[in-house]
Amino acid sequence: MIDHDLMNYNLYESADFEYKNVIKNVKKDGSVLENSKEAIDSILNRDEIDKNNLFYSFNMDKNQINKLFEFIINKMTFNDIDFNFFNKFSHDGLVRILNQNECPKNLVFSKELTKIIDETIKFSELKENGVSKMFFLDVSLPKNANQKDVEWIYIMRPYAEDIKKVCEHIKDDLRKNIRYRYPYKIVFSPRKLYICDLLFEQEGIYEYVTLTELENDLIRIDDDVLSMEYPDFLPNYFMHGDQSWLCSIAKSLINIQNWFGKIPKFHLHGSCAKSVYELTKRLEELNENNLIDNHKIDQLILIDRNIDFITPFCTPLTYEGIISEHFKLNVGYIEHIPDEIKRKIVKLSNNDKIFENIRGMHISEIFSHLKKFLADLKNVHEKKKEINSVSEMKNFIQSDLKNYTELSNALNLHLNICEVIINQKTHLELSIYLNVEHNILSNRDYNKSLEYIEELINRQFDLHQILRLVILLSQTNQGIPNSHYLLLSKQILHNFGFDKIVLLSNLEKLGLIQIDNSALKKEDSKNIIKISQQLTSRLKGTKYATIAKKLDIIPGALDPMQLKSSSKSVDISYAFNGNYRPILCQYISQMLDDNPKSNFEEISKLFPGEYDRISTFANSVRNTQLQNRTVLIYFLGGCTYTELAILRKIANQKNYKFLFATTSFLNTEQVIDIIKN
Amino acid sequence: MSHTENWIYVDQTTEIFRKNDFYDLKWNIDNSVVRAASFAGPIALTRDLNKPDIRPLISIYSQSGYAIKTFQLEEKAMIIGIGWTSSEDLMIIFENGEIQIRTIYGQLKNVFNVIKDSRAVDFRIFNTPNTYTGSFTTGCVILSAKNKLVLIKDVYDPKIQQFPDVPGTGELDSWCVISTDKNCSILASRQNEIFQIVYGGVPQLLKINFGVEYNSIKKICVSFGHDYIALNTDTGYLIVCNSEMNRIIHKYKSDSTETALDIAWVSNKAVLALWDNLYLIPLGSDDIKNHFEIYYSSPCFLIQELDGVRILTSSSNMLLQVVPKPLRDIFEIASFDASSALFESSIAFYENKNQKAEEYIRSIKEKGSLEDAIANCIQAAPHEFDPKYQAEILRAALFGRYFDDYANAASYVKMCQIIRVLNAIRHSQIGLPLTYLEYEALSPSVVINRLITRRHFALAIEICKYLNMTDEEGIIKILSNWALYKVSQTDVEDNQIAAMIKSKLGDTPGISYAEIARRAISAGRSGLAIRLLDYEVKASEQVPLYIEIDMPELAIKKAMESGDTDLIYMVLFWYQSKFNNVSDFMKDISKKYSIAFNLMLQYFRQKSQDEESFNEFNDILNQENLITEQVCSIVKVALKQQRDDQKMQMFDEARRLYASKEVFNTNILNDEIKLIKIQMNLEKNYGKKFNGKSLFETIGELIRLKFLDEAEKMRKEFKISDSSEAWWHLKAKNLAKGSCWDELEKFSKSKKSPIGYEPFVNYCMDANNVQEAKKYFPKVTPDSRFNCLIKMKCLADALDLAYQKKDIQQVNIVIGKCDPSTQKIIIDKAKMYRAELINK
Repeated sequence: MIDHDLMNYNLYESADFEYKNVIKNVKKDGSVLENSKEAIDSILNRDEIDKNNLFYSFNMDKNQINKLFEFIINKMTFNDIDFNFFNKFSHDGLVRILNQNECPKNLVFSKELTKIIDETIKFSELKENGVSKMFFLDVSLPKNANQKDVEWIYIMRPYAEDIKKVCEHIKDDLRKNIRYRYPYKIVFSPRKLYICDLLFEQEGIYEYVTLTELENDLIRIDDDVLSMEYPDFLPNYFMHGDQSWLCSIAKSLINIQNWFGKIPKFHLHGSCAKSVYELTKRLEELNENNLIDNHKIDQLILIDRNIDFITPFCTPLTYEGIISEHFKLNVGYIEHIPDEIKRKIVKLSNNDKIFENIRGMHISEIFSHLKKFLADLKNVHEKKKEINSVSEMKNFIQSDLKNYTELSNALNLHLNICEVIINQKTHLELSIYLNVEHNILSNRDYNKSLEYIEELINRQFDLHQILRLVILLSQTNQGIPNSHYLLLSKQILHNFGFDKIVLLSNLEKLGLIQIDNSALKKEDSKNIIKISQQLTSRLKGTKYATIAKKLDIIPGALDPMQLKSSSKSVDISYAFNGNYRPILCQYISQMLDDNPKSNFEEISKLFPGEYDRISTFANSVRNTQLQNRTVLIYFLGGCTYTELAILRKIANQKNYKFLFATTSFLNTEQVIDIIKN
Repeated sequence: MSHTENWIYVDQTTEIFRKNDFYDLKWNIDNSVVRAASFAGPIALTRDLNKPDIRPLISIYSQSGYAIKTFQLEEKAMIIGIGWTSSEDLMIIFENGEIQIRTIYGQLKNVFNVIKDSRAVDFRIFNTPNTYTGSFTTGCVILSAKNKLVLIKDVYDPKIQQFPDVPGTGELDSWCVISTDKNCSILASRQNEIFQIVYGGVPQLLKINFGVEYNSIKKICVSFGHDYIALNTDTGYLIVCNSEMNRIIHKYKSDSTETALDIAWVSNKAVLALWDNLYLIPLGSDDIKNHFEIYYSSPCFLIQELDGVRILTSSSNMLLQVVPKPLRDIFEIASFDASSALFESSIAFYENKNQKAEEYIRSIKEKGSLEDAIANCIQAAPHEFDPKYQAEILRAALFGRYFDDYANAASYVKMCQIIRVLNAIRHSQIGLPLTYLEYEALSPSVVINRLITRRHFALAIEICKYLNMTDEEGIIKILSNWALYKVSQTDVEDNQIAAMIKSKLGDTPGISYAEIARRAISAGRSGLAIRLLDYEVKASEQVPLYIEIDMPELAIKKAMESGDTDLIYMVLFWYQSKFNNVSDFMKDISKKYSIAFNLMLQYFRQKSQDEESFNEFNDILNQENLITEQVCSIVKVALKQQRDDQKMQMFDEARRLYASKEVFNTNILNDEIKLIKIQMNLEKNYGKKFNGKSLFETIGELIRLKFLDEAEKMRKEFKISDSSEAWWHLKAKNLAKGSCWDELEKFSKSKKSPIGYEPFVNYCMDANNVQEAKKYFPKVTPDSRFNCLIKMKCLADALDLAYQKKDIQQVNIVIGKCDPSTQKIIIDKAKMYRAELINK
């Protein structure tokens, strides 16, 4: 208990009752008694008082205060930051669209949006709102001339390709002389672009359609994650310079601030972040209703993906990261799990307590963790034997049994997933492959890595896996020397077909693969040995090497205990077997540290684009420990699940609460498939 | 009693009236027609009625006689009358049936024609009161020479409607329009007949007996609220009925048998008629000759107001009205009202310093009517026109409040504010002599509109601030209108106006600079519009106007700044229409606007699926020297082609493009073309499909099919070294795939393998042939042996090897590979080894 001397402290007399209670319950070592929960809750509910100041005046030492805050922050659930708003908003929008006309409706949507619609509205609710049939956009639609009263509603992204398909459908109807009472309703998610109108006009069927929008820019993926689920943003912006979607991002930021208050502090990095910020500011100016000042999110980090094109191409080794590579997570849903008969499609989120626990763990630790849950199940099982009365039985069925089934279902699911993963991951090749990958990341053995890549090409290994290494090699070496690249690309085209030339050229255009022409001139001298010597010396001066040094990207030898993802003080390189700390995560961590010694400005200049920090009303709010702790990180161009896992660890270590928003999730295969054409 | 010096007592039974002089006028209205809008509206004056072949001159004055504008009509035309709408626009009715609506500055707002085949001889302008909003809609009925009555219900939305014809023939003696929101009718009289003609109904001859002798009705006058009617007979009678014409309310017999020159209603309480003199005829008196004569100097015009009659003469602007009840309560001789006593008390206290003041107050308080007295004083004050008297009455109210324990200041303060506003707008420079009732009926917002119309912007702003009006109905409206007015001042320079507008309007939220710019554009001042648009914050407002005045640079620049891609596209497609073809357009924007260029390129890229757009896209890429993308785009399409010759053709095109550039892919492209040719031959020779396969896949397929010579030929053709790793992998893999085990063995012995022999084992195992795999195992390097054993599923051997090498990791791998049910022995052994190794 706290010293009784404290009782005499004059401030104490005036302090709130709740504070007294809390302080009574803080032990000397800083741990907090369980029964003070309520008191702390009530403190958390009042935000106008400067808590920090008050606690300081109680003579608590720094350690105590830190522990106390840790406790409080851990207790701060996201109840007050509820991302369900987003889905409710788009749900209501969709219902409104459905109910514009009183008639049966046929819904056609692009496959890409399936999961988004699932997440927005229940199937039964669609029925309740008059939807009689649903189709994918790609299939030919059963049109029946007798059903004049049916309204056809298309829900789609504003892609020219898809619009062409719709036009074909409608033209087909016109040819067959099928007319409906209502015009075809084309709903664009999340935004109608000018070209949509234009295309329908050019096709000459503008009079048969009504175009509208379903404003669902951000979809709630989990209780701390929002995503636009728009993977094309990456190539569109960073490859083609297409700014069309910046407006949607800016609008989503306005929405976030409408709901959770004006965010007082912005960190921006990159050209896209800057444009988005300026657009947001402009929209805010035009926005008549002022944003509430009472903010729930303290800081916003807007960050361009192109500052770190390395991490998305590292082989993930966290549970969720691996799942995303194997099952292609879509809005958090996975499909095609073998042996999972009951449910064909499963949503993975924090609702599943087991998943919440293991999602960020290294794959090697999953099994031992699942075992723990098995023990829990066993406990419940044993409890059954102790039932002596009817009321106990009732209680058992209502609570324990329900938990039991939930838990056992979840456990079953994860065991199935693990099985699939382990079967693939224990492939002998993997350890060699990972070894090479980690060598590349540590800037070691350039020549050996190159040889290995060539071998993989010759063996016609999976192209995605090959390109992953090529990309990493290029990124960590400031480009691949021209002569080497010529060889590699020739081999790839010869083995995998000439059509891959489009892919290679797009990889270059996006900057994932760079060709180092400086070595080209040297090649003329035909002195190949000299080149490799130059190469090794040059490596020390590369940008990657500098970044690695400044941001401490490559850990030295680590104690195996430091790589245990269940421990709090885990080194964040655990996700890559202790070989690499993701650049983006390290950078964000530095950004928030705000430590004048860390020379952050110098670091920020290492990356493309500029860093900028904007505080709107920093002066009015004092920097205290409790404030500035809730941070929204918005990835422009996407992020990986592994990065989220690591950032969650960082948040935990540094007493932050991170929220995430992204244009989409990335993994190697998907990025390559998008830019393939 | 100073307060009552302008009061008019007709007799005991009727109301008391008062006459207030607002302004002394110095104008010449001889031989003129003078028409003023009600609610103290502007006054129009002309001498040119019914004069053909001249361009009529019309002057507009304020109520205080200040000349606002004098203007001459643009063309020669005969006008038969002028009048006003309820929104203070001037109406001019022409003989040819044309009606013009003009602002008080004579600017033409609208013209329409109501008669086609005849000419207009007479007209009535009427205001239909709206019972719900209290506003008025101005309409007009035109009488044509053919005795047709044409109705325009709302002159701002002119729809021509025909009344049924008046029965019989011959000219009408008199007529009037009675219009309510329910229906619209006409009373018309010819000789001793009166017809009621309802719009859309059947004309009716009214059978009403006035009980007086007459031959014809010379004049009909409708009250302000369209509920009473006054008729003047040729025998000098003035008869008052309700507007349904079924009840006679009052009769008056004048000495004169002449037709009254003008008749007007005084708030439904009296009629003012102009014969040789002004006769005030109060209703409700039994005496048929009861009247009060008001002397005036001719000429004289009467204008009906909401609560009185305005009398305009050559020297004055007067208002005749019934004395409002609150005033009467205080000042009527021998009034018993408590407010009267309160007023006396305050006079006694402040001016006479008389202790009676206290007596008065006490008596009021005893009666318990102090509160009513205060309220009445507050109500009375705004009805006074003289500030001195207003102050006296307010002082009385204030005095009373000292003794009132429950006094609430709100109504007092509010009334003070209203009085201040009323006094300000009544000032002769402003000339809006509204009565309190009229002010309330109009609402402050409309009063502001009237000030804006008269361009008293400064006063309007002060009043808005003083009354705490919202920005939308106040400041923004005023400033916008001020700016619009400035824009129309053609004699001032663009720069100067823009600067003035900017300095006044600043960044006031809600101000639309685009709106002002639009006005400038319609006034033909694009220079000014450009300057004004620069201040507009909403790009979505700016850009369309830039397009309208044909400023592509600015339009594109602003659109790009906004980041709104829709807006950018809109401008770009408009801009594109200025060019003859897409290429010129793209060439133009690629130089100037990179973001816009990217967007257009993306548009064409997305569209490039059909052939026409594809060619278009390629042309652009070619022109912009985006060779790599162009080649990619051609290759993409080429690869999709079914027919090989088409494919070849497109590849040739790609090669031609590449030839101009020194890019490494030229060789590869050549290889690809060569490959396709060979594939075509192979397909012909072997009837196998090679289309779409890569070079190595093609060779591999040949090897698998055991066409080794063919494969060898291709190897040489494409200069693949037979000692290269690529070749060894390719050949070994496909020989195994094709189960050519002998060939594989031969191949393995042909040379020292550059890839070692582990791949041989692997490829054999890929074909699930342990037997063959084992052949190559001895040649595998020691390092790779463990992996090979695992691959070959020789787990026991692998375990031994691992144990030899003391490698716990490998022991673990063996355990992981074992099937726990069938290979328990190996597992046990492995576990034993492991324990042993750990202990060591």
